[in-house]
Amino acid sequence: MALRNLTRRRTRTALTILGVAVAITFTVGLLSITEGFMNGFNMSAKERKEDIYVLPKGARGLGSPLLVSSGAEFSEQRVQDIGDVLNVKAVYPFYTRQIYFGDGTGSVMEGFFVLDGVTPDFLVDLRPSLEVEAGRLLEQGDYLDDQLNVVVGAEIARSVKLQVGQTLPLEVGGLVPTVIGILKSTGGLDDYIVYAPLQDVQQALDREGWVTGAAVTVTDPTTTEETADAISNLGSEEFYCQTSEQIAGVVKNLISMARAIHLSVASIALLIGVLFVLSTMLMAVSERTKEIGTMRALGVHRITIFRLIVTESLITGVLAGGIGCLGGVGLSKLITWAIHKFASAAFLQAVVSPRLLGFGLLIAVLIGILAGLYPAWRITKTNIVEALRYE
Amino acid sequence: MNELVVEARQLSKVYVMGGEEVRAVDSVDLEMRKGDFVSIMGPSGSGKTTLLNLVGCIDRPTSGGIRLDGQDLAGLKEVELDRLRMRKIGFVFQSFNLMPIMTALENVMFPMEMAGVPRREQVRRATELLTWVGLPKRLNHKPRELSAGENQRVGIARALANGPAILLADEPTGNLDSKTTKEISLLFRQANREQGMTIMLITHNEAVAGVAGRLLRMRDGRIVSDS
Repeated sequence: MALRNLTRRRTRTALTILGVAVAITFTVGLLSITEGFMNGFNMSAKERKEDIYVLPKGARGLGSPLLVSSGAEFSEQRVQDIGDVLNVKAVYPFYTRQIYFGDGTGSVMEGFFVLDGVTPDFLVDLRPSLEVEAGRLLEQGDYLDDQLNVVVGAEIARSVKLQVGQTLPLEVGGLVPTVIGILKSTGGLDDYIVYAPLQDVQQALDREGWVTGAAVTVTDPTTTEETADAISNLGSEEFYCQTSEQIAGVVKNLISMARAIHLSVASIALLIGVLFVLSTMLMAVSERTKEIGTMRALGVHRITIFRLIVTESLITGVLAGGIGCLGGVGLSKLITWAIHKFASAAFLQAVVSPRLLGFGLLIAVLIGILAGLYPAWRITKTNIVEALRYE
Repeated sequence: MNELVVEARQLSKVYVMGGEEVRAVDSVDLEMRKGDFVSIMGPSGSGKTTLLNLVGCIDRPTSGGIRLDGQDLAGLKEVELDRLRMRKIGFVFQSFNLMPIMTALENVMFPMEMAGVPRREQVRRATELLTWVGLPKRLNHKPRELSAGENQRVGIARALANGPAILLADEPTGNLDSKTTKEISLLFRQANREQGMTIMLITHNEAVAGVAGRLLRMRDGRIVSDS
């Protein structure tokens, strides 16, 4: 009966559902950004073994590959000095650059990826959990062989439809990168990275002797902070240090902030949704005052009528929630596309997890229930005689 | 002697309007026995509808008491009054008050559904009642697809659905033309004679009142004649 009541004024019901669906779409879409970032960071954090990042002055970002390319770099000669610092176990210099690829047509094949030039032991020591889906990891023989052999992340391979032996649709300093390995998906940032031999990248980019950073491991993790300070003191004009813990803390804060902002947006969506459905339900039950008076005269108890009205409102919310969640999935894909296209951050993507879909539906259900309560309470309080007289 | 279906003693309903007391029903004594067909006439504001509402348990008296089908209404809780209306009272309204989203059959099934009658029985009885009121071929029509007279026939069938002790009709022919008025009046008489239904019917139409066996005239909240 509740469902049939909703079909009386189809346009009004459809518009109400649409309005709430838009609110849910934006809530799910926005929260998918936080979700994606958290997802990526959490997955990546688990895989990383480095304790300290050494970054050139002026570099923005949070270590490799979160480092946003700024052109800042420091001399590779300092790597040896860093390795001599007390408590430093090993130093892994890298040269990172964001590379544009695509055919310029604006298709989904176009975007940026992170080219990470690393030493042979980088992947083995610092990314031990990385496995190849096809081909192999970088080996000593790949270095300085007049080719640019690369190992690509799963998402890059998927989006550009790459296979082992194929070349990437771009040139780096006149060299066309050849895929020798495709990594298994980690669900993290490594899915968006192209790993290549450090010297080859430096040579191709004409940046021999320069690095954009170095990852450092320590022998005693309890003295990481002191070790980082000691490294920073080596060349305070050239580079600075960030410990993994500091980065984790900064990212955690950023995520908390983003989550708070997005939850505020969700609260506003909830409020707007409630007001929207509330006004529709008030109008709908007001039009049916006489009918509800008749039902009461026929002996239908007010609780039954209360339930009927709330059920109508709940159905509106659930339908809007379903449509809104679908819209949210679409919006998150659009956001991911826009991030890759305009923000040059290949490693970021919006993710709609089952938990987020559940949250979107929960908001819709709450909107439905909350918006139905007052009209239901009001109409069931109306005196039967007055309701029957209502015109 | 037939048992009493309605027994009202010193029944009064007082409203305060604009600071002034209005005695809509004033110390009315009324008895209706099973099978009685009573019509009530009187000028507007004479208290006819208020009396019907009090008997129909949709309004509570200011003073006095009513027994309906042997049950004293005083002190009954709202849920008990709801149950009483559902099982013992059938309402017929001037403007039919049918559910627009339901077909004729569903409208008649509705009170039975609310009373928890099994669905198969609902369909059987609703079909039987709609056939009895002369609408065997209009079962699946919605109110907007039926004429005023047909709508009122559905209204009567709905009122009879749960086999009530009394049928209360408030100007049931008020929205009908003279030909349909006559048909509906005869339907009430048929319900009274064939089913032994106790009926209280309010009307402004002398001809309609004429089908009832007893006529009450009201003025200023009081019954001024009972013939």
